[in-house]
Amino acid sequence: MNNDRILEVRDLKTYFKIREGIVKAVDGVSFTLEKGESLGLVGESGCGKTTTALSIIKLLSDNGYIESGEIVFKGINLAHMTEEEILTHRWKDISMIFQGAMNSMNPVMKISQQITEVIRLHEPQVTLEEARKRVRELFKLVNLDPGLMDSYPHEFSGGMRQRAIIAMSLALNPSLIIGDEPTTALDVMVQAQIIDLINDLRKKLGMSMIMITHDLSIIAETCDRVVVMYGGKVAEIGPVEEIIRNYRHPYTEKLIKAFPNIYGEREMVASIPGVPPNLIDPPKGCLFAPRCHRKIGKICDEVAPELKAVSRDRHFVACHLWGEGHE
Amino acid sequence: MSNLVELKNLKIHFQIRSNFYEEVIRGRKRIIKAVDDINLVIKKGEIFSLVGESGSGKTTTGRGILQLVKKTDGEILFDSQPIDSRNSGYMRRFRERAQMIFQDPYQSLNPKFTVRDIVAEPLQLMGRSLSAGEQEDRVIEALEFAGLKPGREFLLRYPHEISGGQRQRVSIATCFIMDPDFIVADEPVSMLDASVRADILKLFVAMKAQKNTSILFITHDLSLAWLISDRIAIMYLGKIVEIGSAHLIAGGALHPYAQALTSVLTVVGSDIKRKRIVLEGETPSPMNIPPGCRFHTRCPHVREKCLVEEPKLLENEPGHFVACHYPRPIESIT
Repeated sequence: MNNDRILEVRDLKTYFKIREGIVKAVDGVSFTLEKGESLGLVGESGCGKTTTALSIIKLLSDNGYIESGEIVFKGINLAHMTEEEILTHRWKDISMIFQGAMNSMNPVMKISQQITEVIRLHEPQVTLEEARKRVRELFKLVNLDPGLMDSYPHEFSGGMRQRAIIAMSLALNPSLIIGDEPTTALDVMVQAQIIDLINDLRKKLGMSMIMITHDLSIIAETCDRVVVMYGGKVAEIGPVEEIIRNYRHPYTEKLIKAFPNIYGEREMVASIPGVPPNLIDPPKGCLFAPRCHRKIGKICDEVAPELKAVSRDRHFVACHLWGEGHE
Repeated sequence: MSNLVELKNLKIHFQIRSNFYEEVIRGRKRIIKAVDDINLVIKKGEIFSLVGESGSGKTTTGRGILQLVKKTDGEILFDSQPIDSRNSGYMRRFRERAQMIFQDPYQSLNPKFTVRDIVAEPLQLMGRSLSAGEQEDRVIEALEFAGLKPGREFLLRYPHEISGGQRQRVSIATCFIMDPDFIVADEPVSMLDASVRADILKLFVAMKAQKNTSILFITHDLSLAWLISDRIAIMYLGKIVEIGSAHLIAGGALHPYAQALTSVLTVVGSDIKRKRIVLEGETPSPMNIPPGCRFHTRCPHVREKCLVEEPKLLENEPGHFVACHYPRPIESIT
């Protein structure tokens, strides 16, 4: 089983130093990813989902750093690698599809050039002709006309550009792809097309994936398991279907209920009162306690809940409502 | 319910510059038909949603009604009267009665104004002679209606000091203080987290209930349109393809485009699973609209008639209009 493990994140803590103090953006996050599996990270803005992903490929801004924890990728710990060491893994082993395809391409370079550049940087022995051949294959793979590979990004529509970005992320045949809101800025129908493409590629290539989004419906469409994050910590983790049906954490409950169910009663969706916690000086107990509608008492304000198994089905929750003695 | 806004054969076209040779020598003009002959009615005290993808013309329609872009042809009636955009006195009064809420609360508020200045500005512009105390009371009342409680605490804050959701509430307070009859809300919650969307939408529902305000809600989010609308229109490439009740979203659509659009909506936590109809390609350019039915290039049920004849928006059942030669319910399609 462990041979199939692509990634294991153990007690990851990523902090940012700002003038006001230290922001604990990610504070003790652990999860695993098996080969071929797709894992979703979901939560509100500022919950640490993007920071978790950026920690994995070490693209944190200058004031951010990994305080402690391990990021074991195929048996190698990436957490404390230097920039030079991580360069050999970034893109070749782990690539990323960024939010807003518009801004992640060079506007004055042909798309083919941008992809061949990536290929030849990591594999200098590849000739330009071979690299271009690979771009052609990649274009076919993402359902783009290979005849358009010498276009500039502005000549592509939003959906085509996102396909090109996906092609670029596949250029070096990585074992892990991280998608940071890859469909957020797209139109409804284009979004459906990209979701189909991602699912198709996962089947074809057996790709492992981490999908970051604030939109639970995208997780439901593309992921096997989901990590619900709140205030830089894991609130709940488990198989997507299980979480959506048998959520245990009050925050997950609120998150799910924030989505209108168009086949149900037309009632106003519940919103979450209050604001996310201040991560410079987080509360001592459960971070969600000040906004929680199921608070059980002092314990919530004073003791930070640990992740506990709630079923045999790899479903864990960090909430005092659940655990030994309760059920 | 009587009508507040009526659009009759409204067309809004934009001419864009091509090169000198094309334009002057050959006399060719490039025209974007953003809104291309639409008819609709917004009643007093209803929430009417315009739904569509980018380029469908939904935003242009909203701006057209508010006279923020010029119409090319057709009629816009407000309270049964054509909007007299040349009469400055009329327009002043119209601007009081019809308000707009923009998508991006980070760009629509003046960063150098305090919340009090922002919310009080329309009162001053409209020359309401209020004492400083009265004005402050009105501002606080508007802020508290918009959910910024206690209002007094927000008066001296600047936009950068409050969150995105709170900024959108300030926009709503600014609009509420004029006590308008009509509001165009253009994607008012699409920049906000799912957790605060509901509270903002509830304000529109409250305004409708308390003040009988009519609201044109422009959105790409079908589930939100379903949630708060009395009626919904779906647009494609400058045309309305279907108008109906909220049931349109939940499986009641008859137009193939509306059916596809609603079929790809994932409903979290529902057992009902629809067959997803994912259309190929993308919406054609509004500069180059296909002949016949403009959806025929992507329609899964296209027939010969669709290539040549543009379908009219016709009433299929009471209150349910469809622009399709061969409308049929989604279940009967195999």
